[in-house]
Amino acid sequence: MPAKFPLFKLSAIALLVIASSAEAAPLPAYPIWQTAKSASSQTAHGGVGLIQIPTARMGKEGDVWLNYTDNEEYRLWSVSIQLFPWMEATARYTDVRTRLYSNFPGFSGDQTLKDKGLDVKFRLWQESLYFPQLALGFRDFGGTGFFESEYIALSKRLGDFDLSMGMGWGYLGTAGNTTNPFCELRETYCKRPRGFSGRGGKIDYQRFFKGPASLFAGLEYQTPWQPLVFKLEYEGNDYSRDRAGVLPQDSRFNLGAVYHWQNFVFDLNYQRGNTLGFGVHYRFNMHSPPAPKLKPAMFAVPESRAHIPAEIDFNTLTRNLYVNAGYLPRGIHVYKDEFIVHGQQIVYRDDVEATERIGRVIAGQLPQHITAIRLVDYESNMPQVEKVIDVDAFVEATTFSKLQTDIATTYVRQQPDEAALANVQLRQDRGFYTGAETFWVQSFGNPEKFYMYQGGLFLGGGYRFNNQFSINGAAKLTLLENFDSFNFKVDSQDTPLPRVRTYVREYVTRSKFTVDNVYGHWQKEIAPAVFAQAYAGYLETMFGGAGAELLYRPVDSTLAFGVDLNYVRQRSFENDFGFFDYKTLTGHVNVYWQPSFLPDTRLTFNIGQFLAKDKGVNIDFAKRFDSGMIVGAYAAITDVSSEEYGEGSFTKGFYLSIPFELFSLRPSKGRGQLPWIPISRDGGQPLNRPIRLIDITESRSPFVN
Amino acid sequence: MTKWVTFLSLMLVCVLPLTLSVSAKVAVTINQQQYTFNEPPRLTEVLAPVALNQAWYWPASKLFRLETTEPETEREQLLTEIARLAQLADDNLALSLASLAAEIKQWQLAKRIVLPIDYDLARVQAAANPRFEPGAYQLLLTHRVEQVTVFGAINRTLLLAHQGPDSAFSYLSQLNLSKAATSKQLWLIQPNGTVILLDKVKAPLVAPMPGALLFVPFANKWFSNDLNLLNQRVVALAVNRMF
Repeated sequence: MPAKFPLFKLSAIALLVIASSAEAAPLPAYPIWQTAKSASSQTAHGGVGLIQIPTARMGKEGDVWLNYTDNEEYRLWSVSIQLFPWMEATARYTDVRTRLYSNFPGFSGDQTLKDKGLDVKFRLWQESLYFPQLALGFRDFGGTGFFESEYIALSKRLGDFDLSMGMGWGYLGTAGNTTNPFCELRETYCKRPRGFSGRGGKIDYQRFFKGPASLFAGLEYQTPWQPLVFKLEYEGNDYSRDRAGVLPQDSRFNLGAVYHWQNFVFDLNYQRGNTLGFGVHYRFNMHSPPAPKLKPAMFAVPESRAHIPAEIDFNTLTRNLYVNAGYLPRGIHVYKDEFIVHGQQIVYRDDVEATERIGRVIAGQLPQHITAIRLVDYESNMPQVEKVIDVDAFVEATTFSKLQTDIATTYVRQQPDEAALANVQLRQDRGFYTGAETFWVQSFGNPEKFYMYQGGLFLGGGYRFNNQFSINGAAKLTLLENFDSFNFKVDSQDTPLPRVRTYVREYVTRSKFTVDNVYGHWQKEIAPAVFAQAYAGYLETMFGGAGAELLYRPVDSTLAFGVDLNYVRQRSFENDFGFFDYKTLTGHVNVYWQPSFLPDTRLTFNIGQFLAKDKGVNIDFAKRFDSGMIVGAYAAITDVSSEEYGEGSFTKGFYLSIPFELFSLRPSKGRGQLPWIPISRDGGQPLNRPIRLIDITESRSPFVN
Repeated sequence: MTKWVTFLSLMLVCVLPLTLSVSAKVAVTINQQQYTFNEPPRLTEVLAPVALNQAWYWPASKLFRLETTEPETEREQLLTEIARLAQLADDNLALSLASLAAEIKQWQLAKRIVLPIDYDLARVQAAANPRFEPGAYQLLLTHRVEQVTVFGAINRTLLLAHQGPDSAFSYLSQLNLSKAATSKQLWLIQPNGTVILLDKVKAPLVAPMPGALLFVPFANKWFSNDLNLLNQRVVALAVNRMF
């Protein structure tokens, strides 16, 4: 007798519509014959779980949740990301309605207390037939820790019920309904130290797993109606030590109902036996491929090139390359049996698609005696990577003249060949250029107003003398802002570090029109895969000077490394072209590594001296998802102590880079970056160099696009 | 001298076309009927004589390249490996392995070419209408069969009635699993050549297509990966199975 399974099934019509997977590729998406149980849902604090308690469940890799929950005394906005199948990270802003931001109306008006927090959860053991899933989590570990907790959770699915239980320390364990097992082992674990170390913003290891511990448990019930899920939990917090005050708790049981609708989740809950709460959550997945784009159909290639005339129509070819393949040719040359094109890809992000399009446009016009196409891709006026296409194999693959073909095997990517480059005499780029970019700067959690913003245009221009040398400039024009609400320009914290960045408010509010940078720039590939550049002038908003950089970056290599050295002086915030007295040497050894054991990630290490003359390393971790979105985090660990640094203890930040293509109907190569910098002070601050070699050599081993 | 040159040229002219036409010939046996093409045909041309005669179940179509001994060699090596493992195994496992070996010996094998074979799709999509390379092929077309074949670490190979969209694991309840089997995983070989490893906890809701093969794998032993590798090899060989 076959096992019974869910009552909900797709209708027969839907079954007919689902195409069977007929591809030869391994592991295609499973044909969905039955509606799966509802996906996971978020806790009030963000992160997969029940209401107040977390579970061992994980979302799908690449899931991003945007959450807003209202729990009477607390309002919580959080973003939760499933970075890897075994790791979930959550960032959160809390509004404590019953407390003020500060006791000084002149500083923060009547704004209520805000706090930010970070959580992370690791899956330690995957659920199997007999064993539950096991996870270890840390809540609110970086920051002033309103909800700081550590926990271990177990989850097991039994039919329509998902059962969880665990033990929590800190906020989750305030009630102390059980003995702390670590207290049994060591006396120091029996009491939890108060206060935060350094100047906040540090991970307070010495508090982990100390103090009272509580057991918590709960269950999720998938009702027969697929979108509706009920939650019931028993929590380990008695709300006696909450930041909002002592909150009355009539019951340790909380119950909730969750409703899934497309990408939204709505939940309603009843907590502490006396409080109604609700939440709205939005989920999307960063692995989802971008929606289909409006783009021209790829050119059909003729199976036989015998009838193609020997005279190539270069005008038509150039136009087709631009219109159909998004390729801007700089020079086309036929040399013996090779067709050589130098140019730049300006439309298609995906290198495989871009190469196929170019190949198809060209192959259709190539007479039979030509056996290879050499495509030299330029970026920033330098040849970066060369693709040599075997024309006969390419034609065979694009006309499906064999039972099983693969276009990717018909060409190779390599370092541009010196001899081949010498065969093509190209005019150097020369002339004026202009450009404009929009910008939007935003800041959360300010004392004056929670959300402050500034938006406008960067107006750029310059003159290029040749492929190596140019003069560039950019001016910032502010069109929209509420930065005039600032109550103070410079904070009153007295730190021994030179104020290399903490005058930022002065710089951004001096005038609606400021000169951001004006500098001369020289660049060259001085040896195969070795790039060099030098620049001098006003390099960024706050500093001007001179510098140079070297980078070694082979084609398709997972490792690139280089060094940069700069001598800079602090620009004045009282005018556009003056300087203050502060000068420094700043430079780093830069290592860029894409480890094979962590696919689609890049680690960057910048080791050296920062602007405030502190020495250390900036570590950046970035992960790219299938949609093209990149999530990154960085931290600068230097020889500056947290007391010397000031509030926040050390420089750290997060960013999300989003390809514009996700929002448009047509393909595009542009990107926007959304940074989130909890606190930025003077330690661990690198110079914002106007051009970085790692960025202009991107096409050699693409990560960002 | 000129006579020799003329004679040789004449010979070349006569011989070359022969060699050329032999190398370009494609012979496709569709079920029992053989069709020969002088120039390499596209899939639509191969299917044209038979495509609309009957209601073929296209997802279960199988294309094999003949004239290659690769599957036979693999079968020999696999049987040798099974014999080796059987010698080191306990009674239950040895019995199951022997049963599997007997099953594998009965298979008719040829080199499977996994690609979508669908007359309608081939007529609208160029990628689904590739050109055959010169050689000999076997194309098996069938109607929709309402059965699923289960083999592996079970007493004997079974033909079970297809249960519609029921999950692959729901077929297990009808089987007598050997003690050497694992019920936590199943290998599903869809009729179109797709191979999926199913995990009971992680992905329980995948349904076999009509005509699919379900392989019940052997449970892997601690400190040895031999049975895992054996499972993978059996599945890879089963894709090449004609009958």
